[in-house]
Amino acid sequence: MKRLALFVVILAGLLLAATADDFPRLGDAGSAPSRHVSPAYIQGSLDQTHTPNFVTSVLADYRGFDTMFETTVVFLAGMSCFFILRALRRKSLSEVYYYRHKPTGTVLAMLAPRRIPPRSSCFERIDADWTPQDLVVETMCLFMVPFVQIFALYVLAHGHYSPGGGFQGGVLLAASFILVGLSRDLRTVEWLLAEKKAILTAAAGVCIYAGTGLLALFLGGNFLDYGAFGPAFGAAIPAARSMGILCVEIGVAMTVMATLVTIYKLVSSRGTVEEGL
Amino acid sequence: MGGLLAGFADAFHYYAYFAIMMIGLFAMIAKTNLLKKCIGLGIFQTAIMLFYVSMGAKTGADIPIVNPATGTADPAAYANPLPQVLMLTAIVVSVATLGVALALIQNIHRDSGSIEEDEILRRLRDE
Amino acid sequence: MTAQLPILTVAPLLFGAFAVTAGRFLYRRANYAVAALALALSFAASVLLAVQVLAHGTTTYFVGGWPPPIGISYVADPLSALMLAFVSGAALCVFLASKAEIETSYPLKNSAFFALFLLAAAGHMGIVATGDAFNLYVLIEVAALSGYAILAQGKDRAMLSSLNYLFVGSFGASLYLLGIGYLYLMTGSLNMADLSAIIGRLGGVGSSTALAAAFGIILAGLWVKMALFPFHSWLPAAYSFSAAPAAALVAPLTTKVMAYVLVRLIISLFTPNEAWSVPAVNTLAVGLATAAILYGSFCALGERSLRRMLCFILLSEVGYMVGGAFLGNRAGLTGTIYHIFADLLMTLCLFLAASNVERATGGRFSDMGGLFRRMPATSAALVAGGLSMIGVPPFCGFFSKWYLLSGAISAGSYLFAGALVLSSLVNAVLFFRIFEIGFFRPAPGQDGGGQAGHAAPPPLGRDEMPLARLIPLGVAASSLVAAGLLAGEIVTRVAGAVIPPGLG
Repeated sequence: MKRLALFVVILAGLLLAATADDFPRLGDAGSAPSRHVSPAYIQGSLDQTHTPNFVTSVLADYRGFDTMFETTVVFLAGMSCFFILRALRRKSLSEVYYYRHKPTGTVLAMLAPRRIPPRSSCFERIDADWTPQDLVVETMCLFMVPFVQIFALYVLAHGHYSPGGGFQGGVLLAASFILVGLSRDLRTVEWLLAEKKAILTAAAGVCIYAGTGLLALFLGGNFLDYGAFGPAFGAAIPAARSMGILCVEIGVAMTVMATLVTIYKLVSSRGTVEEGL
Repeated sequence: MGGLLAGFADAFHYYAYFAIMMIGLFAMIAKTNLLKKCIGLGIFQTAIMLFYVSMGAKTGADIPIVNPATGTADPAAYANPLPQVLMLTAIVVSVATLGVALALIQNIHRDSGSIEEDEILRRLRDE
Repeated sequence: MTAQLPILTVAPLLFGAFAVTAGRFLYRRANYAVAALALALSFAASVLLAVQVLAHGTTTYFVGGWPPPIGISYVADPLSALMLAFVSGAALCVFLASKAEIETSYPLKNSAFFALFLLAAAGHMGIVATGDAFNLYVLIEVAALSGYAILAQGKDRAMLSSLNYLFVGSFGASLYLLGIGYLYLMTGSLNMADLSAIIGRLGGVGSSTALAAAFGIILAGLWVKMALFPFHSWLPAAYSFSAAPAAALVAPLTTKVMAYVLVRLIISLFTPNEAWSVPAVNTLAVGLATAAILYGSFCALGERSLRRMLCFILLSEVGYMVGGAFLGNRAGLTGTIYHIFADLLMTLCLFLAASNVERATGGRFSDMGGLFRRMPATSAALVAGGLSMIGVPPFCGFFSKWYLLSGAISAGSYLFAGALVLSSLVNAVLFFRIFEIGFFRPAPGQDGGGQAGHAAPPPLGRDEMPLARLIPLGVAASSLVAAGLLAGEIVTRVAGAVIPPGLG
C-alpha cells in the first residue's frame, strides 16, 4: 500500500511540476495578479476607506462577504465540536472526585461530589493525574495574561494601521485563556469563561458582523455596504467605511476568541469540561 | 543546459511547493494513524497557501501598508494584498477543519480505544 | 426590497442559526419554530427571486456596493434562481418531516443540530448563488463542515465514516483551491464573468499549460467532492451509517449542488466551447461517468438494506450528470441541468420515505414484508420515487433520461447510452424487488399465524407515520410528477436561457 501510494504521489508531483513552465517568475511586478484587480485596492484603499493597511480594507470591506462566511466557519467549527464531542448527561461523568488538603497534602477520593464547597480555603479539587504545580510557572503565566490581552486589543484596534485585525486579536485573546488553562487547570478557565457565555459570545460576534451588513441594507445600501452609514450618521463616507471595518473586526475577534477557547476546553477534556490538561 | 538551469531557477519555488504538497498527500494516503492523516492534510493545505502568497511578491516592494513618504502612486512599490487576504481565509478554514477532525478523533478513541485505522476497523468488524 | 432578494435568500438562515444558538440557553422551546421560520423565509425569498428572474432576466447583486471584479457579486440567472428555490424547498421539507427523528437521534443537542442544519442549508444556497470563484470555495467549506458534523452521529461506524469523508472532502476542496490559484496566477481575477472574458482574450483553455492544468485540477476537485467513480468510496459509508435526518438533508443536496457547480463552471467560467475543447478530458469524463453508472447499479443489486441501496443508486445518478455535461452537445448539457433538478427531488422523496420505513421496520429488506399494507402512504411515495428512478413517464426521471440518451446518441457515445439503458433496467429490478417484498410477502410476525394456516393480513396503515411526517413526503412525491409535467417549461426557460445559443 505504501509503495503504491509513493508511486501515485511521485507521478502526481511530476505532472504538477510539468505545469509550471508558464508561471510568472517570483517577484514579477508585471504578472497578471499585480496588474489586474490589486492596483485598484492599493490606490483606492486610503482614499475610499481611510485604512492604510490594504490587507484589512480588502478583508473587511472590498471582500467583506468572504470574511463574514469565514467567521461563520469559525462559529460552525465551535458548534460542530460541541455537537460531536460534548458529553451531556444528568450526572457528571467522573465517578471519583479528588480533593487535596492543602496544609497537610493528603488527598481524599470521594464518590459523592460536592460535599466540599468549591471555594473552600483548605481543600482544593484536583484532577486524576495531578502533579504538584510549580509556583513560579503558575505565577508568571498568570502575571503575563493581562499583558497578552492588552496586546491583543492593541492588535485588534490597530488593524487599520499595522498588521493585525480581528482574527489575529481574537487568537491572542484565546491564547491568554489557554495559558491560564495550561498553567492552572481547566476548571479555572471554565470559571473565567463559562461554556454558555462562550457560545453566546461566538454567536454574538457573527451576529455583529451580519447585523452590520443588515443595518447597511436597511439604511438603503446593499448588504455590507458601509458607505450607507455615512449619510445616516452624518459622517463622511470614507470615515463611515473605516468605522464599519472596525465594527466587523470586533465581531470577528469575539467569535474567534470564544470558539477557540470552546474547542480547547472540549478537546482537552474529551467533552466533559471537567478535567483537562 | 544554461537555459534549463535558468528555467529551474525561475520556477524552483513552485517545485518546492509541489514537493511539500506531495509529502502531505503521501501522509494522507499511506499512513493509518488518524492523527498523522490530519497532519498530512495540514501540510497539503499549507503548501497551497505558500503557492498563493508567493503570487503576491514583487521585487523590491514594501509590505502592503501605505508608506506616508511615497504614497500610493506606484502599485509596484507594495506587495499584492489580495493573495494574503485569500490565504487568511484559507488558514482559518483549515484550522476549523482541524478542530472538527480532532473532535471526531477524540470520539473515535473514546469508543474504540485506538487511533490506528486498521485496529479500529478490526474492532468494528469483530463486534 | 426586491433588489435585495438575492441576499435575503441566505440572510434568514444565518440569523436563524444564531437565534437558535442563543435560544438554547435563553428559551429552548421555541427553537424548532424559529428554525422552521428561518427556512420558510428563505424559501419564500428564493421563490420570489425565481419569479422575478424568470420574468425580467438575470440580476447581479453587488455585495458591499463594490462592482466586480473589485467586489463579490451574486448572480441570479434562471438556473441559479430555480436551483435556490429547489435547495431551500428541499431543506424545508426535510426539516418539517424530521421533527420526531431529530428528537430521538440527537438527545440534548437539538439546538446545536438546528444551527448546523441551517448553516448547511445556507452554505449550499450560497454555493448556488455566488458569482465569485473564491467565495465559492469558502461556501463549499461552510456546507462541508456542517455536513461532517451532522453526519457524525448515528450508528457505531458513523464517526469513522464522517472522518473519512472529512479527509476526502477537504482534499477535494483543496484541489479546487489550487485550481483557482492557477487561474488567478494567469489572469489576476477571481470573478467568474471576468475570468471567462480574460481566458477568452488569452486564447482559451488550450493556450497555455497552466490554464489547461487549472481546468483539470478544478475538475478533479469537483469530481472528488461529488463522489464520481473512482473517488466515491466515502459516500456509501458516510450516508448510510448516519442518523436519518442528517442523511436526508445531505444526500439530496451535496452531490447535486456540486454538479450544479460543474455546470456553472462549464457555462460561465470556461464557456462551453472552451470547456469541451480538450477531447481527452471529454472522453475521460464520459468514461468515468459510464463506470460510475455501472458500478453504482451493480453494487446496489447486492445490498440488503434500503438506505445503502439508495446510496449506490446515488453514485450512478452522479454518473448521469457528469457524463451529460461532457457529451459536448446541447442536448447533453440540457439533460444534465434537468437531471440536477430531477435527481434532487427523487433523492429527497426516496430518502424521506426510507427514513419513515427505517423508523417502522429497521430498513432491511427481510423486515419489509407487507409494507404496502402497513404503510400505504409511505409506500406510495416509495413507488413514485422508484418509478421516477426507472424512468417511467410522466415522472421527471423519464425526461432527463430522454435528453441524456439523445445527447449521447448524437455525440456518438454509445457506451454511455448503453450504460443509461442498462441502469434503467437495473433500477427496475431493484425497485420491483422492493415492491414485490412490500406487496406480496407477508408481514413479519404474521406468517404462519392463524389456525387456518393462512396469515391474516395486517390492518391497513398499522405502522404508518403521523401526518406531520407524511405531508412533506407527499409534497416531495407530487413534485416528481409536477417536475415531469413542467419539463418542457424548465428546459426552455431555464436551460435554454442559460446555455449560449448556437451550440450543437
